[in-house]
Amino acid sequence: MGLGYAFREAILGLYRARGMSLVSIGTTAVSLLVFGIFLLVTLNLYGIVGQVRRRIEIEVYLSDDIDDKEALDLKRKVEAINGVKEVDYIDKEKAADEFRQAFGEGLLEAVSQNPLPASLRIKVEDTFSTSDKIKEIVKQIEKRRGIEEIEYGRQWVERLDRLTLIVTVADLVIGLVIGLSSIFVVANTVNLTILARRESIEIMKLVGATDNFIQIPFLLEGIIGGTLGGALASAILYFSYNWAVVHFPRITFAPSNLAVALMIPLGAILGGLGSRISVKRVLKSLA
Amino acid sequence: MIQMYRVSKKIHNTTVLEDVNLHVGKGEFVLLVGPSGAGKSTLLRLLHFDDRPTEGWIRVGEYSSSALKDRQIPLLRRKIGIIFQDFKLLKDRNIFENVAFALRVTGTRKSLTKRKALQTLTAVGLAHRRDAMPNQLSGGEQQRVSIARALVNDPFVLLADEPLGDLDKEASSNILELLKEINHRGTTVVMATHDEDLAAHMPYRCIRIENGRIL
Repeated sequence: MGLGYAFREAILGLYRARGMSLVSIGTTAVSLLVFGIFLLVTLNLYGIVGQVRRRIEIEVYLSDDIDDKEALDLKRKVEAINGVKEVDYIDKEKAADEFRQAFGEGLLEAVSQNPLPASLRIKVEDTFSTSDKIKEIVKQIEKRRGIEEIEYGRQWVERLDRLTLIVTVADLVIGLVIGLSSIFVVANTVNLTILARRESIEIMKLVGATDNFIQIPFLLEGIIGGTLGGALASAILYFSYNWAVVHFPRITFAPSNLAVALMIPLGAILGGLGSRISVKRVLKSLA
Repeated sequence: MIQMYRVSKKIHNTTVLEDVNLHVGKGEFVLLVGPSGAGKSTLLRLLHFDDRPTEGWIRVGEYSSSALKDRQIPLLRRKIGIIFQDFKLLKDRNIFENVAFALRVTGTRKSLTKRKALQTLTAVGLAHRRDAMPNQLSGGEQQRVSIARALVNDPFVLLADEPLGDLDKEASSNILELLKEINHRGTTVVMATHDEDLAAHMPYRCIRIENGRIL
């Protein structure tokens, strides 16, 4: 059997059973739409968590008895620690400037000497922004000479860790439920469209069609139907997401194109697999 | 041509056919006569390997039940024609496509498929209705289409399972004439019927079957 014939049969099959085809495409689209919405929510949730994590900083306050040279030496050593992304040296003068910017002139001028310590402001790699990893980095810095105090908002980071864990677990559970129900709904709808043509499959076998000859057009039909359902879901997701991006400019949305486009191959795979399993089942029952 | 040797068939522990011996020669027209549920359809199903015998062996042309693998069954079916009481036409395709389908499964070229399908439809007197859908035809016409589909691959045997069961008197007699003509041209025909009257008036060998046994 030529692929051209199989393809033509698949298109004709969709057309001949157009009522069922529309139901199947619509169901696939709705299922993938729900899954797509979940995926986009997840992406944005992790986007927000990521943004918050990128703000995490370790502030290492230096004692007054080390000079600039020693401080810069310490900076280099800290930079070499695994997981450290960037280190800024804030000398006493710069600390005073920052203080003035935050609290205005006057306060600092009331005291005779600049009481603010110099510090190293450390940004960590994204993968090192959890409480445990930060603690490890802190441990390696602590043992150095000339350090007065280290601060990184321990409680806050720990709370963020717990929140991330809850979000991840809830997301996985919800994702699994939505994913499985999508597969279930699509597979069942495809199964119904195939069962409606059980008699045709039986007749095809009676006139000497091989299983492959029967299966391939059905498989293509499933893939085409699934792709159309996926494309429909993608289009709806794309336009509504972009609408949201335009209408809620204050929210930073995560990039979505890849997740949105993913619905098309997902539809194709679901449709193809559903169709293949159903036809196989029918063929087996007729054998 | 067709041979059954000590064939038995059990379905869910019920014996449907028991110790059946049968021989049908080339070019014969054989009637399988018996009441409903006697085992006629099961016997025909065994002949086109829609089912396998529980015991004994069957030979249809060059194919033997002891050696035939499942993947060879389509090849056998392309060499035998089968017609049924309920016609078994593909309802979502027109008449021409129904007949052409039997050629397509064999990988026949498109141009040859068209020519042969039309020729066969002409032979059963339905070429002018080639674009009609099955539900637009009368029972007799639908049975003609199914005969055309069965014949289009030039089978060496035509198996007919109560082909007149759903037809009125006139259509029945037309189909019967068609079957006789097909046999006259050399195709072996095995026809199952519960109509004793019809069998009595046909000049062919009658095989009586009752409770799964040949009498």
